[in-house]
Amino acid sequence: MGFNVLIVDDSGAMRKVIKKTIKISGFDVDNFYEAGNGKEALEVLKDNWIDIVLTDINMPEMDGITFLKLLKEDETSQGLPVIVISTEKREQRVQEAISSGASGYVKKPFRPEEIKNILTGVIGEEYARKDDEAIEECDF
Amino acid sequence: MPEKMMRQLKNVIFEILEDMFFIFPEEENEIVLPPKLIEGNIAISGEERIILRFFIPKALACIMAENFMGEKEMSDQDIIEVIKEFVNMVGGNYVSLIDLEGRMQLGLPQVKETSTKELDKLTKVEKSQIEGHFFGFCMEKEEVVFDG
Repeated sequence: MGFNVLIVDDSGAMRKVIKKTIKISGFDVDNFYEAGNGKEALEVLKDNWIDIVLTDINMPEMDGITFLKLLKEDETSQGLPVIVISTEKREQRVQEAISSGASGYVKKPFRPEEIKNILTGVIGEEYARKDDEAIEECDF
Repeated sequence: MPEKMMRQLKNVIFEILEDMFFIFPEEENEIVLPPKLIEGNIAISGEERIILRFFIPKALACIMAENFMGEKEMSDQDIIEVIKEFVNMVGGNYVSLIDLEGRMQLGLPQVKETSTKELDKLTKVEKSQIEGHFFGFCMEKEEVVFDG
């Protein structure tokens, strides 16, 4: 049995690229869910079982940090691992995300290995196939 | 605009174009510009407001979208979204370079169609050639006036 992923990014193109990266990394994913901002993501979380969230920071309506803080304040979702994927490289921003409860931080532009390594670290080896060949062929 | 800032911006742009879009600046030749361009822009706000503007012909935007997504036949919506993401990545990486303390705020990227004539109104547009197409960018600074 695989896991369910929620990708939160206002760019549909970036959501697609992240999804593709996770797929080629060989993870055993049952379902991918998508949201265009934090507000939409909260709605998705109400109706679906999600095992891990990957979120951008800079989004309209509700940014990633506000979304992250709301998740961590809520008893039902505070244990949910959240990985932030952002163009923001400033240490202060990274620390803000980590102190708000992020389990990991990936800076854009990223290499597929970075997503694979952080996902493996957060969700555990059991969901990751040892299929490094596919990932070597692709470089985002 | 200080030359150093433009140089830093140029480095960020070309790094991202190479790493995420697999395209590289070429030696410049005479390029015929199409009548319309896609303009992407993003604001960085702090004590002053910096606007980064990018001018890209649709043909180049299409190549960028195909390379970024790893797919062919991109829709106009896909192209707009990819250019937005490009602008967002440049903005995020650039602000990380000029504002280590995290005092400046990155705005949301905007994309629109613009007339090529718009370029004539701008004083300093850096022009490059990529994949045989024009690529231009500039930086504008505005003083922020606080009321009260």
